[in-house]
Amino acid sequence: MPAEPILAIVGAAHAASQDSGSLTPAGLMAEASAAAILDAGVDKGEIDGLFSSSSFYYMPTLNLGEYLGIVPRYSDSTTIGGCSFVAHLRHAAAAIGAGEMTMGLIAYGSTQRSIGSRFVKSMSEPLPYEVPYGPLWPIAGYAMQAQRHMYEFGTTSEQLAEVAVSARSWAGLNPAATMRKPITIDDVLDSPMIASPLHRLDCCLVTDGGGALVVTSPERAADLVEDPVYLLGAAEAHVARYMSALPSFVTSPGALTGPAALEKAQVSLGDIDHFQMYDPFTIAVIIAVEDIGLCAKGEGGAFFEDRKTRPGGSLPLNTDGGGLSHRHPGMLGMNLVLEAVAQLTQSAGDRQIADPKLSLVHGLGGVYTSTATAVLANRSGLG
Amino acid sequence: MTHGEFDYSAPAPPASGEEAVWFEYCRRHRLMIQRCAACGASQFPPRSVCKQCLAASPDWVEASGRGTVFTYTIQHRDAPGFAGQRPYVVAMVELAEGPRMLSRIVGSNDIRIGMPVEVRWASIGNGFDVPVFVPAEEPAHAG
Repeated sequence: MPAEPILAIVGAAHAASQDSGSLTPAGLMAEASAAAILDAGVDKGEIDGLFSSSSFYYMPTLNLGEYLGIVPRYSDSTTIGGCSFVAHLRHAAAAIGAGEMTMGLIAYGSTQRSIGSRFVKSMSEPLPYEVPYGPLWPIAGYAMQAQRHMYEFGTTSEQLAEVAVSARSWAGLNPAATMRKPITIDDVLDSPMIASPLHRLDCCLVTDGGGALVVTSPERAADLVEDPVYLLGAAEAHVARYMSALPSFVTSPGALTGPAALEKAQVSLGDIDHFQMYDPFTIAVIIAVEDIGLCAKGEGGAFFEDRKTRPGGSLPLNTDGGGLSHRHPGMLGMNLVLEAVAQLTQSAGDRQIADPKLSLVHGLGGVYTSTATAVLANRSGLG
Repeated sequence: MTHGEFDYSAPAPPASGEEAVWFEYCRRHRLMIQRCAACGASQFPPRSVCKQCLAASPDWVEASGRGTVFTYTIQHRDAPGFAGQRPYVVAMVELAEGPRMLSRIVGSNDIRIGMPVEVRWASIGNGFDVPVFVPAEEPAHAG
């Protein structure tokens, strides 16, 4: 029996102008927020909690509050990398449970592509012991994880490539996806090597983006919308700040947060209908399926070989096309939640999977130095 | 060891405090790690306290300069500040003493995980010398 829900998502939206290059990060954040608040059908004045994380603003909830004219009584700009927004769900649940707020807004905006800042903006505070060697941030960290995974377990470039091919095949069903033309395993292998063993098509896109979520208690949600999405359980962990300090190059903190989130939600992996996993690079998803427990450590490459994660397969994963083919605005965590909400509310259009009840959202941050995992449900997924 | 053989240009590391102490040792071509007098744990990067037991002021000790390649990547794109150097090998080197450090493998792009390496020194400009590693003839010995 699934756990009682601890939070409800009652409004969700992408920024409508996220491809236009016409807005600032705060502008995108606000545009998405206004749409999410409208979606929830609440008054702006009811929002008393703000959550954000940013590579653009040092105090992003202050930017968000000022831009929208919201004075929160609860404010949280927890930054643990791209998965921060998944962690914010958990923090919002705790704040509501403690009576510190009633209605939260979680928002993100990024103009990473239009400002031409490729891979640079996200790396504040470079580590002096890494700087002299010129590692590409963050690719070098993931490339070294892929190399070690290949060494320990015999993982192949073809297996990595299937993660990208699967993502692209989902993107073909998503009119909002940036890259929709089908690709093959050979296309990935033939794309230029960036940092061995990772090719161009093993790497995520660099796009702008913005999104927002309105969250409240499950009780309040019942008065607001027909189809709230519920948080059943979530977990977060971080093990290092820098790639050179990773305690393992083949196991991520997802080995902590995956099982912990499932335990809190009181569901098993077999109950999950939809998976949305942070995919900055193909290797990250291979490590994720192992760490969450979908297969044994070392078998993540083989896990993808039967194409079960592609459209029509038994394990729908990254159904919007993911960071590899939909969009990747520097921090992907918001998009992970937005796609889970789209699927669970049956509003995913051509890529809609049949009758999903439970979705597992698995975010990462830094160079896989952090993770945050959440189990989400619609009304039919409740106990 | 021929001084200058492995020199390349790099941005100056923004080091301060305990970081600056380590780079000062590097100027004298001494590859330093720390060992805790209280619990015996070795650590790199240097810290104000022992990461294991939190005892203050771990001792600076000189590493043997021998290690193995723990993992690596050959980069085919220029990182900012490193134009014209590609392809180059960025690697995690596991020192014989235990701690791992990011570095470059120089002198060869024929790399495999587990291969023994040993330290050399490269001047990177701005008065900084940093440790880099070359493939070693013999497997690394402890101590």
